Amino acid sequence: MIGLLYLASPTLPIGSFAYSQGLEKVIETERVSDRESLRAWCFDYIRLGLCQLDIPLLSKLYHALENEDQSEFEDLNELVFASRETSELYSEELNLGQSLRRLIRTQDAITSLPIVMPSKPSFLAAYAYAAKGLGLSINELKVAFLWSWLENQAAVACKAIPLGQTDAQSILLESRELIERSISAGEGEVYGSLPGQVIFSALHETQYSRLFRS
Amino acid sequence: MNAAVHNPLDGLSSYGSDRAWEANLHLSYSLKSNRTIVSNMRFKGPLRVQRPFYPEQGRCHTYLLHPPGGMVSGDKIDISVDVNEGAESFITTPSAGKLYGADSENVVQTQNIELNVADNATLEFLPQENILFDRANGKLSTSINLSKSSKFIAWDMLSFGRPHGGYHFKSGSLDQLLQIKIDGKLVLHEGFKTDDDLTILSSPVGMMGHLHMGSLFIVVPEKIEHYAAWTEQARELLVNDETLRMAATQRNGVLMIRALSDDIEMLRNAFIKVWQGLRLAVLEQEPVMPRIWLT
Repeated sequence: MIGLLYLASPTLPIGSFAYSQGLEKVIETERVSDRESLRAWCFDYIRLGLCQLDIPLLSKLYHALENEDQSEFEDLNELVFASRETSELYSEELNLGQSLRRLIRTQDAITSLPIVMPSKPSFLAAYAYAAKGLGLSINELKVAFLWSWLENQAAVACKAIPLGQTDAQSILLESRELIERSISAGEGEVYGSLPGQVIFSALHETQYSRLFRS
Repeated sequence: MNAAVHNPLDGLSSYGSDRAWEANLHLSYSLKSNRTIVSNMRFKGPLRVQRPFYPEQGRCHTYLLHPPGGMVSGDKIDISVDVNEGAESFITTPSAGKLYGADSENVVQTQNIELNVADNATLEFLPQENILFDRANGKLSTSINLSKSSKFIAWDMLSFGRPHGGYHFKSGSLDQLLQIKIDGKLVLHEGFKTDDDLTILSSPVGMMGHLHMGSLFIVVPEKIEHYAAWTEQARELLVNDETLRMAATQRNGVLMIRALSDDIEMLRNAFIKVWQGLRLAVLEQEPVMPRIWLT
């Protein structure tokens, strides 16, 4: 339980609060401007994007750690980077992956695993490693990931819309059923390309005034 | 397929679950005394190429033809292209690919494209769009294998329905995968898959209610230091309004332009403009408009 709360915490010291994954640009275009539009953005993102891409990848990474399959782990790490479709999403994966690897090394409570972390670890690879090292189950890993992702998007909305904490955080409670369904997402071929989100993320690169790095 | 007997745009009928009409085409391009020739061609089924032609020195221009004009349930198209060392090839198609409504058994329509570009070879792969008609059940995959010294420009365009002809996409599914590898290393993996209730077509994370989408890819690994400048150059050419949304980015050795539009002509013309604007910088070759793009 403590491991789950630790990994799901928005204060996990890796700097994820600096990234919005295109949401800042979406907010600038006023497509997300209140509680309802924020919920629609986040829930579609989870259902159509994260459940098709990040969740299956985390599952596969976790299994590669369980099976102590180094080459599978490295191939999946490459696949994570290959599926980040804009400059900012790619950099975010890279920077958060490196920060999380450093954190893992400094925390004795995260057990070392027989898999060697790739020299350029993706955030997802490092996250799966940390979860396994903390003794989390695969479902706990998925819940931690989805919860921290959603909490981060809510925090972005608070700052960038701005939206009150109560409204922004209402999506967290409303996500319960969706998150419960999401952890059963399959593990087959990896999809989850989101044409709209990718365009917003690419446009964010040249957004004039910005608080976030993605 | 006999078009006189069955019009695939008409109502439901079945070809049977065991129907499998396979068509394949393999093309190899090789450099032979400063000129790129089609050194090998094999085909089965209705796929053909028009006689190669040479509007710009030794670069070989080819039009891919699919005479039946579209795919129905059970059809499977495999296209593979090898551009061998030093060869230069330009490939386009004179008409859109069409995926007609699946039959009552909802048998999948499959298209696999494999593009292999060797050392110092160039490929421009710029086909017309694929159109998904109502009830289509398409599975499209594109696998691109490049070398560190190859040069590659491609686009991929997709339409949900053909609104100008009154054909609206109301139901159906699409599963599309695209991968790019450079010397065996996976650098891009894109998987687009429709959900059961087609929310992805209307959602702001998805197609935002636009019917057409496109991606243009530029990969020249030896010139990676120019990508930032090319991206800037591309951005000058992009349109961003209610009917056409475009954005450029580059990462992991691939420069990409993304577009969503209400109008396929606008999208195609915008991609042609980017291609015209960047070709000289990317391939060191002035753009020569293929005649079929002008009609």
